[in-house]
Amino acid sequence: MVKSTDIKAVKGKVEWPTSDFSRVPYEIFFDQDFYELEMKQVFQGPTWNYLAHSCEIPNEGDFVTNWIGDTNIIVNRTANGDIHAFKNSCSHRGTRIVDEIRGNSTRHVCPYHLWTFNLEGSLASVPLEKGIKGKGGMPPCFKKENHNLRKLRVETIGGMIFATFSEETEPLVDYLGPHCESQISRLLDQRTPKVTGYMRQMIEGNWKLYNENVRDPYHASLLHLFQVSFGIQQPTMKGGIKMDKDTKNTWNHSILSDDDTTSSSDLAAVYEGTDKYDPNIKLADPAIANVPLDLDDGYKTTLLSMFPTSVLAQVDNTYAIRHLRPKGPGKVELNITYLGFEEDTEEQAFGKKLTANFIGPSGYISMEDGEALRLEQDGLKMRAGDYSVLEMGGIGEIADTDYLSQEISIRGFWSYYHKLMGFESQ
Amino acid sequence: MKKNDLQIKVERFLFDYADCLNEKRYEDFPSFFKEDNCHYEVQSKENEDLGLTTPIMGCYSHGMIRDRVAQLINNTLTYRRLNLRHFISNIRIDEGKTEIDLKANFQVMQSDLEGVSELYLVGRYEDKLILDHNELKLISKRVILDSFAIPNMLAVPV
Repeated sequence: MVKSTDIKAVKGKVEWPTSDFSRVPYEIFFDQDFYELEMKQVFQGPTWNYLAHSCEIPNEGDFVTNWIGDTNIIVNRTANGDIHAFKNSCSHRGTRIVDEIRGNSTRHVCPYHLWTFNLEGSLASVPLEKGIKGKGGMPPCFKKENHNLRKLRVETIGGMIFATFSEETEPLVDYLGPHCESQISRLLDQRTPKVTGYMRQMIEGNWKLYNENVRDPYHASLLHLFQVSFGIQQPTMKGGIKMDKDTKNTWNHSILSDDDTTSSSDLAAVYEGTDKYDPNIKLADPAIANVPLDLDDGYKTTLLSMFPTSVLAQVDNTYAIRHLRPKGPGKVELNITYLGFEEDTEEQAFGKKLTANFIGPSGYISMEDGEALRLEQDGLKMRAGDYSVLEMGGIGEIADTDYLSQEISIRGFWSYYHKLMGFESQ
Repeated sequence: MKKNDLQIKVERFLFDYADCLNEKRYEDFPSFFKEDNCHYEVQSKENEDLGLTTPIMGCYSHGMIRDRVAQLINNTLTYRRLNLRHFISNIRIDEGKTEIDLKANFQVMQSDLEGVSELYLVGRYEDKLILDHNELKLISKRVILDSFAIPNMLAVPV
């Protein structure tokens, strides 16, 4: 852990040379000290962190475990339908209590000394609390109510369950902002979501590189040539990025419109000098590219990136919640929950199995992100004392755009991160 | 065909399938599947055990299988150049009237360009084969991954 006396020294290790965050010091991606500071300032700080979707725990006693930074959390449903979350570490000697990913239990019993906690995370019983035959037991000053599990505040939106360690965190809807609120409603409230699969990808890169990646539509049509060739996202497409008041959360979207007359020769001009774009590429079986969108609003991609580790993504006709689980400064697990809807017809359900080929660690669109981040982490480790460059789309003011090729929203992320980490007061 | 002969034939088929991937002859990969009727799916053990159906890779026609390797062949994909090597064991076959059910375990090691090797994937195959003019062809191949926390990415079929 970072001692408070050391925080100033840690923060003093780097400089942020530009006030518009167009330069980012490379050390914050690989230095263990910054990672540890993040665990305290970001993950235990005033942020909302995704835990599960409420459809995963429909009944009393249903639980899942998930991670907020380095901390394992139990989230479960009580008899009255409320959702509670608490740290998965016994109040007695620190033992991890629940060692499963998901399940159902009327209570949580620590395997070591069988201390038992109810579904609100409160200590319900301690074996031998009163000793045996008047001997032993806990001292008279021991009060069970002083030994509950560390409880977190919980709020939900669109069924997405978020938790925070801090009493200071503002209400979830205010934290997410109006664009997230309306898009979560658009994607998750119109129908009844259900989980159709989970996916995990271990990426050899810092968790913030992924945050940059999802706020970076500049790369989307350059790294992911498949989606260019098949009209999912093209650099000439309509769309843009909108942020919340803190510029920490982004709504990145691209829209297919009738006047989208980009010809392959226009596109070929964009890629001139590279050998990546092939205008003649054809699918042997075009079924996966012909799955109709469920919603008739023309959005080909909707990417809601919610600080610090959650993404709600509609890519073509796929729906998924992505959650980042940092594993040290150089590694992050991308944990994906694929969603379908109870209302889906058999044909729509099969369509979602087809379009699943677009996303995840084997996705025609997204698989390359893991590799890009691995290469980025490998390269930037050699650049202590230097800075990354974020100038695409303009420098200076951090504002919404109605075009896609930009890095402004990445600067938005850094602006909030910088504040939350306390760099300003150094 | 005698059971023992069929076992040997199936094993040779699996080893040839693995060599095609190990040797990066991706254009040959679709030829292991029956052209008019075939599935190829990679699924996590987590989803399999929960009865969840969204695949990691899901190809439900021969064309989709060809598309899966097309980007590897035409070199438009950004992926890590590794040498992969499959080790296939515990091969069991059950002969039905028309189909052969095959189960096997596999391990895939990855070796980077500087020669450093590590375990990449471990899991099992659940395949259905038929004899087509005395040649084995896959009508269904399901790859179920125990190691479903995919390291980096899964670009090459397993």
